[in-house]
Amino acid sequence: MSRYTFSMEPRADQGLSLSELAERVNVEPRTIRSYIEKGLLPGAEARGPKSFYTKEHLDRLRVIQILRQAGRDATLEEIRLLLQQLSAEQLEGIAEGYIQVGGLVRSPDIEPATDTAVDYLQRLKSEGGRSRPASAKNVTRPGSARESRGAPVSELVDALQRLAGTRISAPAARGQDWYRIEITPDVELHIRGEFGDQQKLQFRRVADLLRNLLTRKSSPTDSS
Amino acid sequence: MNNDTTQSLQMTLGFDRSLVSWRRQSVRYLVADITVPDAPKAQVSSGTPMNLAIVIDASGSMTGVPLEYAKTAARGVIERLQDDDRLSLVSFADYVITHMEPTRLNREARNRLLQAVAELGTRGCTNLCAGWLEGAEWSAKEMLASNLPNGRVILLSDGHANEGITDPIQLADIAANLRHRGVYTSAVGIGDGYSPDQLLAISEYGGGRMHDAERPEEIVEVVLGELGESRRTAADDVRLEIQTPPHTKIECLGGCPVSESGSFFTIALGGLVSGSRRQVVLRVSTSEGSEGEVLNFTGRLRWRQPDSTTEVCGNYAMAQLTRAASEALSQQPRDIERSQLAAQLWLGDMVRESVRHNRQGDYRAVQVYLEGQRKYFARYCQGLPEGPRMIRQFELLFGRTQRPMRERSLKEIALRHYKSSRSEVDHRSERRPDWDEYLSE
Repeated sequence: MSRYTFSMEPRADQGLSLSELAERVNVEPRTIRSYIEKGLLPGAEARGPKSFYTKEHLDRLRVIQILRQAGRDATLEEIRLLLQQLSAEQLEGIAEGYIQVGGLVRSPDIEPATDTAVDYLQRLKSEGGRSRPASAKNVTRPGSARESRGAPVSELVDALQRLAGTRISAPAARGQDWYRIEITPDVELHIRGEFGDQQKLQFRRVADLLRNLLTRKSSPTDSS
Repeated sequence: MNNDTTQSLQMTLGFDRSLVSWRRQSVRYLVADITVPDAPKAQVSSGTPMNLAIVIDASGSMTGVPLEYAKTAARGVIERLQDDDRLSLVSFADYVITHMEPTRLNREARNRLLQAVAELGTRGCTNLCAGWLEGAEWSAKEMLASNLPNGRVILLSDGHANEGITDPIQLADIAANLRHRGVYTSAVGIGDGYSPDQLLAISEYGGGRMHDAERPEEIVEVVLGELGESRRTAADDVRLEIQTPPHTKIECLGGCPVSESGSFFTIALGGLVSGSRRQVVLRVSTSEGSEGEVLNFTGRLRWRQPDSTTEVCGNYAMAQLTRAASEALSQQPRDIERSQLAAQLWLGDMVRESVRHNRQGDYRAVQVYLEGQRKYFARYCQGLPEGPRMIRQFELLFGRTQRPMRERSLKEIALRHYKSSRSEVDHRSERRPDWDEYLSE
């Protein structure tokens, strides 16, 4: 039997410098900086010469590389949105390779039905009792063997959406909805796009952080 | 997506052997071992009412004793269902009669239902599909009307459907579509005349169970047994998703509905009752590659809890194969328990296929098929504690299924493998001989 065991990387847990992090994932430090600027990666822990990067940075960088490799047409903005949907556990899973993104394509057999059983049965009746040929092709007899193949790149986004369990909005476009969160009576956070519950929750957490920061600014304990 | 797995199904994945050849094709068996905790979210403990439709074959062949026992079974269901459960009653022959639309059970409703059962009589041909769909529709409507998470249909039939939709592939497709929408069907085949192909298609793809009632009095036992299993269902529409590396072939042993998309292989396991264990075996063929290369197989379960429409995902499990040179292959250890299970299910598949050809009278096909399997099966059984016994059973199968067999023997043999591959209970109280004894007739 072969069971998977997580391979932890203690050095990363202890903290990596920018050059160490870059070396681990074989990219230039300036690429990492640009990812941070574009919101794909959080900034370093601490500041100045004591700054360091954690295993989460490493996982994120690896996932970015995997996503770029799997979806050659995926833009950094799309990847940023995808990353927002993934939990730390999922990021680690993809980074470590035990969740393989490229093949995360749900079988048509388990595609959630968009109508009810009553709708389906009424449609079946109106079609004279013929079942839908589109799904009939997915009914295979036990014992049938097929060669598996890599998932098409275009299915990457769908795959990650399923992995994240939420809808991922496309990059902002004209006419899309605005999501508004009040930070303080004078400050609001506006985000354009369509977002799933998990993403909205993250935005609310960001808003909470901002609120805390704004409140702390005027706090007497923050003398700096 | 509900990721609460505190009360969830648990699964491990593992291969019978962990090394494969890097120079040529290898075959290994991947075992998914699934355990269901005791009564986590079973319908019996959740307080969610059961939404059941009983669909009874009322064609001419059911006249007399079979119909009387079917009615006794229906009365038993009415008595055992709890207040607030829903029950519909439908019969079919050449046309369908709804004897009772979905009815919320209480004392007065029970009396009306018992009266409806008493009035049930036989007539005409067997439009099984129309009757089944009528029952399914009542369940589906009740789901909507009362905001219930699912509906269940128990379909009783003693004959081949000969009107309406009769093609097992088409029936399977409809069953799968209903399953996706939360309506699950179990089937009870009565006597020797029912079509196992049709009822298996409906129950396997419909997320339910297939039962056999050889004798009319057994109808009551199996219908009430099915009701009990429905009550103890902890997970509905359980699906095992396996993600495979490129250039691997994979097939499921044991006769479960399978589908494939991309590198995802999905096996529909139906409903699992609390406290049960289910083992699924996949035959994996690998091609040549480079030495030392690791092949990852990731799997997880998806299911619906009986008290909600929410889809639940289990945790990921993983197993690996490593491409190695022949010296390492010959010295690698073997997981005996998994190997034995794989051999048993392999034998079960050969039984199923042989029975199918035998029923069609195609004895030459049986011979060709089994001859093709013989050498590989014997080799795989070498070194297994149960290997010699399984090889003897194979030889019995090979010798006997190339001649006509009684329909009852074919049904018993197939049923035994069906039940054992799914770890399901045969609710008939009278014990039958072991399956291979039917080959000695």
